[in-house]
Amino acid sequence: MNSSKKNIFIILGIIAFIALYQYFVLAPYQAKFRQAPNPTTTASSAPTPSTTTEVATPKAVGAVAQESIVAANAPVSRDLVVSVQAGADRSIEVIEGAALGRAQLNDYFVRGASERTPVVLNTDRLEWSSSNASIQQCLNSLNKSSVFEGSPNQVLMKSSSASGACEFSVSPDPKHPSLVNVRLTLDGFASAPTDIVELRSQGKLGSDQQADQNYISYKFDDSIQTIHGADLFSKTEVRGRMSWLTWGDRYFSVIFRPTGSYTPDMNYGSLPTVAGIEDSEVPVSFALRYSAQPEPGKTRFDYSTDVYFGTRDPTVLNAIDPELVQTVDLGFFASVARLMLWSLKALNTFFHNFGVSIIALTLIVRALFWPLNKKAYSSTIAMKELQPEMERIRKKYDSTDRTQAEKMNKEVFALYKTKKVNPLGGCLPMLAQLPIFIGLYGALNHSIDLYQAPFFGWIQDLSMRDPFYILPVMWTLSLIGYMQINPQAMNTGQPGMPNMKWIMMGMNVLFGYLSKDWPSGLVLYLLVSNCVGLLQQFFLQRSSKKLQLLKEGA
Amino acid sequence: METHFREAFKKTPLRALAAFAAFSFYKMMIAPLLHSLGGVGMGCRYPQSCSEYASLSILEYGVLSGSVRALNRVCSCNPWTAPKPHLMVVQVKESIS
Repeated sequence: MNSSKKNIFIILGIIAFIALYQYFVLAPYQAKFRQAPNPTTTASSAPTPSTTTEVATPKAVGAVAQESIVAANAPVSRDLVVSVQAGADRSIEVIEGAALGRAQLNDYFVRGASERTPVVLNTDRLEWSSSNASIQQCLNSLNKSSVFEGSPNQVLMKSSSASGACEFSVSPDPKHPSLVNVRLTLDGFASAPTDIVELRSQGKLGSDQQADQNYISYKFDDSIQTIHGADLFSKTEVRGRMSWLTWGDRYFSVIFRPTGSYTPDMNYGSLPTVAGIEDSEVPVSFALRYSAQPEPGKTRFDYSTDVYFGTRDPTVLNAIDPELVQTVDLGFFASVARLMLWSLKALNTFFHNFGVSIIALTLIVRALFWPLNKKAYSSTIAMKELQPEMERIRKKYDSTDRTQAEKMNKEVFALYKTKKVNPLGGCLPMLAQLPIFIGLYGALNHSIDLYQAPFFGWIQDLSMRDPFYILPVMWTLSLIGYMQINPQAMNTGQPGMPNMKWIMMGMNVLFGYLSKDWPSGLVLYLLVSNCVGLLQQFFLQRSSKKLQLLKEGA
Repeated sequence: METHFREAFKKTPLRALAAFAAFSFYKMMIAPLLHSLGGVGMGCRYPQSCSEYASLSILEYGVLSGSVRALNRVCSCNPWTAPKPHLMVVQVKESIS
């Protein structure tokens, strides 16, 4: 088989690999999130109204919890009472029956939408419910007519019956936008020891178009658990002292932080697909579960929790409670990502455009490594000049003999030493730049600061992939160009080694293919870095040629 | 290398496979990105690149011994360590190279 035929086979093989990977690995993985799995239990299929889902007969609390997840059902339409303003651009709906509706963030927009649609967090429907029939009846009677005090800034609803009185209030925090206090007060109800009161949510998780990026995380008894991906479809129950619970996507979250004297248990599980929940979203139910039994000697007890709906912004969360910063997940290499984010933000105070800041960062990194690059290049040239001598040494020794091979190595080393080749070289300076790449990847993939950060022209969101794949194609081309002229990267022509040119080119194409889904800011960094590298290469080649001419002339 | 590996596959298929995996994994998956990030002139201080060295030494010395040699070489590749004389080149047998 001649070499051109073989090259065609290699390229066809790589294309086939990409196609098979897309078809067999990526497509099923994505499909898994497009479609919620079928419920394993049959109890969920009965469309009973939510008010009667709780079991009437007292059971152990754990058993009730399992039932309440399984018995989750399609939302019943209830009327909006009032929309509470929590900060200038944030509002959350209060619905009849001690429930919260949609939380809207008017200062952020849905990505990829044709029109500017404000981000809506699905607190849909976050409602109080109870296994005690008389408490549930009181909760149901909380409607428009029971509003005791209602304004865009505070809602208080009261209802009372012969068995007891209930009170539900939603009050925004005056200092922090997106933070509301949700409080339920019960007075005088006679309840069994096994009765529970739940703050329950049955809705989709997050609004991210990449559904696999949605997650639930919580801190119980000082240990943080994060559940994402396919694990969300399994049911879990957690008990203990709850610090916080958050659910949402990478950028937006709803955070619960109990503030009262009662600490809830938590359980969550996936729902069967119900009407109104789109296919691509992960429908998840969870409940903060309290005991409905008041403390001894008391008839009145209240459940209070802070609900935060907004961005996963460390500075905002730190102002509310330093502990809530833990809800921000910057990915696997969070510390590096934080460092990169910090430097990007520092640069952005000058440029006011994250795209320009990324370019500036690239130039700074390249400039910092320039002295090293120069030295390394000169030693590469020296190495090339030594090549004939190396060959001579290699041929001198019989390679089948191990002792001879050692002698040969020593001679090669001596040759290197006399010519002082590559004193500073090595792969460490190269590896040192890997954290920059990883950190940028983490920051661009997870940070709200870079959400919808525009660059110019067609790139309106640096944290999303390039919609027209212009940057990945340019990067691939620059990578191929770089490989062509960079002798170190190719490193071919060694005895016993094949000519890797075609395989390498195929690999560059494969990298280009992989980069199509990377955030465009990351590809921008790689592209600029590569272009600067090409320029440096040309400059060094020219200057070394001049030097050679001078030597020859002398 | 084609002939070299072809010969090796006939004699010790598992060893040759390990060698080829070590070589191609680095050369194909990591090297392009690393060199693109590293900048001009960055790279090997040795006459043979570590991926080549690793694959050839696995062929020559076996999977375990060859891997240890390769690891030793990678670790010695930093500004604070002088290049080690015994890790310079793996000589390929003339008959099959």
